[in-house]
Amino acid sequence: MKTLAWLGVWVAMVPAGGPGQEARRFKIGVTMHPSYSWVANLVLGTPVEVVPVVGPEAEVHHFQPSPEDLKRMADLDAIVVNGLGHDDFIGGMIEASGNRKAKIINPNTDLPLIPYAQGKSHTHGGESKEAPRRSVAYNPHTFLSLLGAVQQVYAIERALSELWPAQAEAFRANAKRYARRLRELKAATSARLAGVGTARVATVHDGYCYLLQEFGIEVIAVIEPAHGVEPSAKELATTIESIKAAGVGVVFSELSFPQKLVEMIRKETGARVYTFDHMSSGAYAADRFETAMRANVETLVKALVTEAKGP
Amino acid sequence: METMDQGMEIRTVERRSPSARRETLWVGRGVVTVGIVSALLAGLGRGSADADVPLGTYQVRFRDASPEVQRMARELWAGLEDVIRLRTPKDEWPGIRALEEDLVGPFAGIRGWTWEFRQRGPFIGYLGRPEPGTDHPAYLLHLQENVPHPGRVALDEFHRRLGDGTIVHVGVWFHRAPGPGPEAIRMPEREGWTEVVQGRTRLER
Repeated sequence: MKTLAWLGVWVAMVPAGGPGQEARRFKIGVTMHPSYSWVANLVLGTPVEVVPVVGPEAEVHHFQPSPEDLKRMADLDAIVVNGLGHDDFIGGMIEASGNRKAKIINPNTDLPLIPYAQGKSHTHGGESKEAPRRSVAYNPHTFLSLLGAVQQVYAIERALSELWPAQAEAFRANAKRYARRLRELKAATSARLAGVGTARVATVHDGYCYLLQEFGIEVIAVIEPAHGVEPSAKELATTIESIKAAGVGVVFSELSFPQKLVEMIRKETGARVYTFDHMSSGAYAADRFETAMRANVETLVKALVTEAKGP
Repeated sequence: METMDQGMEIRTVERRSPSARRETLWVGRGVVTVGIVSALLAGLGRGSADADVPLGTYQVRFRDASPEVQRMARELWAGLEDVIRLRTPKDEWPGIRALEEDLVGPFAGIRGWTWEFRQRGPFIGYLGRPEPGTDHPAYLLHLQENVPHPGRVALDEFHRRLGDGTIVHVGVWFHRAPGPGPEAIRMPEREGWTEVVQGRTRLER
């Protein structure tokens, strides 16, 4: 009897990835649309199911978990998080779901992080001349980036390979294929933007600095004081002045920003306004990230090349 | 029935006010305690992403670097992943052409630099020189093999583990006007190179 009891304890302690568990289907939770696409592509051909923690009808910035959401989390083996502020709700959800085994995978751990509203500081080459900052808030939008996506896909692959070594070869091959596709999109876009030089733009939301930096584009003004927060009349007037003073001809907005403010910016600055996809709601799909980023870089090329005017 | 006074002794207790010295000592202890607790709470309140590590004189934090240096450092750190993955089991590091073919930036896709691969013993360098007539810095992705590691090495932004378990030391550097000397590939800091560091604490991989 005692031997049987110890056998039971041993079976319970065999880690995920142990030989006895390779046959069953593993479940990985994700908190955001881009990470759903990344993981779905990484686990192709393996017994891994990707489970969105936030339902497709919800919006990650205003997410309130329901009992159904907690139920979905109870049997997850791992959860891929943003960990930089976009999914702060996840800690409480894991606690409330009672899931003590789920491994937390934070692919942003190694990524270089750009401070918030960096575009408002102005430097040329070499080191910044600004005084060192004591407290820095980092921009969490590493997922709105092709380079950031490649790095995060590799980081997730490493974590998954450690968890389930029997699938490591498949994870690795899938990561290579997916990273290659993202790099193809980036290289093609770089080639189309080659003649642009160092463009200077303004954005409604401070979420696109990683993507824009990848193509050498400088953000000189950000309109929203925080995501989803409309600027006050004074803030808007100041930003419009800085856009005019810098001679910026392009503003990148997003779908959720009020149209009346877009029109005001367009009218006051004379700038052309284009819209990016933030990928924070809607249906989850393996190709969602690539589709959205393809549309975003197409918008970029349209704004800076095909519809660019003046010298 | 016993009254309250029964069995009770009347005592006389003299309470002296503390001396100025003792009072100062107690206040001092209080201040020190509050200071220590506040420091601990401040430390706990900072996320791992915001915990700075001290820098060397030849280093600059990524967040304080210019947009161009940030861009190239991001490209090189992302490229480092591919460099490590493309290293063959025979310890051969990928050359520039192999990285270009795999569209790994900044070796492919970013104009303005000419890249070369250099290896001197355990020191490996991917060196990007700016095209003549431009004022861009030169960039260097630097790796060192055979890093001595008695026991368990804490993997941080300077240490990566290869597929075979080997630990390599890695770094991203830039220089406004690098000399032609091959020594840069051994010890970049001695040749006036500046290392870009994330300077954040991070979790063990």
